[in-house]
Formats: sequence, structure tokens, C-alpha cells
Amino acid sequence: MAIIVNLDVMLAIRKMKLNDLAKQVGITPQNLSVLKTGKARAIRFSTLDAICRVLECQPGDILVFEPNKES
Amino acid sequence: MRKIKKTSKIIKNIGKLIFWVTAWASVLVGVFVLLNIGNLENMTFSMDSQQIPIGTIDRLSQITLILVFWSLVAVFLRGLWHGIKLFGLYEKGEIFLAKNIEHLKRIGETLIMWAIIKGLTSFAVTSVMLYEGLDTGINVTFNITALMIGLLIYVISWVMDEGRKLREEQELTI
Repeated sequence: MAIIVNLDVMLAIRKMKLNDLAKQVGITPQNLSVLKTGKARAIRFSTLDAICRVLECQPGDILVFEPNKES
Repeated sequence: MRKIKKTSKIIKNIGKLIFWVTAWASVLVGVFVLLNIGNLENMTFSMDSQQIPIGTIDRLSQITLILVFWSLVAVFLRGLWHGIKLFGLYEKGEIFLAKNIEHLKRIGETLIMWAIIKGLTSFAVTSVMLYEGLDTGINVTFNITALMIGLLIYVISWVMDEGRKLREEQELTI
């Protein structure tokens, strides 16, 4: 996938644990882990909205397009 | 779910029994005919109401009929094997997975193969009968029912596969 999920980077910058983010966003840590590891097929706007709100960032900070990566 | 598991276990075991009995019996019959063991005089090869006395025909015809017999048994066993595997998965409670759909697809394929093989083998049997001078006329049959059911199963398994992909997509939407 050419879309890279940089959730771990943002978590490190905000010094936040995955479980804490999951709690604040209101989704399970398992689902958040799926997103973090890049296994997710899609992300809901509501989830993205909640993550950006908690991490105080832009969607572009979490999702990055890398054209050289195979799709 | 418990009922499905229990029923699947019974069907799987019956299937396994039929599989091994058919496999060994077909091998033994073939070996007996090819090695001329036992009383072949009373043995007849029956297919689509055509009867050929095995003991009185030429060696080449005997080999052809055994190959016809083995090819039909092989296709039957292929279908049965995938059926056993499918019910084995149901027994474990694994339903609507890629593996199940794959086995269902193979069963559909086997039925289509059966229809084709049946046509080819009936042609071979007719050729043997003509070669042996057994005058029964040309009788080439084609199993349309097996072909239709096979195609139907194949299409259903394809639709199921699309459904599985949709479910997977839904599950991986965060």
C-alpha cells in the first residue's frame, strides 16, 4: 500500500501509549493496533477525526502517501 | 453450531469410509484384470446400459476399459476428497472462510470435469465395443445434469468468495 500510517511516530512525539489513545478515541486497542501496523483496509472519518483531536495533529501527520511503495 | 459440527463429523466419516473403500476396490479390480487374476469370465464392465464381458475381450480393450474405470473413479474421489475436507472444516466450526470456499469451488470443478470425462469415456467404451465387434451402435453420453450443478456450485462459491472479501474489508475498516 502506498499509504503509510505514521501513528506510532505521532504517539512517540506526544509520548502517549496505544492503550491510552484507544481509550480516549473510544476504539479497542486491537483495532488501533491494526491501524498502526498498516493492516487496515480503510479508516472512517469519525475515527480519523477522533485521533486527530486527541493527538492534536492533522490527518497528514498520520497518513502519508509514498509513491515508491507498491500499491 | 453444535448440530452443524455433529452432522459434519458424521458426513465426513461416511465420506472417508466411501473414499478409502472405493480407492482400494478400484485399485484391486484394476490389478486383478491387468494381471489376469481370478475368474474374469463372469466379470462384465457396465456403463450407460452397455455391458462388456471383460474375460472374452482383447488385452488392449481390457486396458482401455480399466483406464476408463480408473479415470471415472479418480474424478469421483477428487470430488469426495474436497467434500471430506469441507465437512472437516465445518466440524471445526470454520464456516465462510477462504478455505471452505476453495473446497466448494473444487467440488464444482469436479462436477464439470465429471460431465466431460463421462462424455470422453462413453466414447472410449463405444470404440472398444466397435473394435470388439459387439454391435450395440454408437452410444456417447454427456452428463448435462452434472455440468449444470457443477456450474451452479462454481457460481455460488464465487458469490460466497465476494461476500467473504466484503466482510473482511468491513472488519478491517477502523
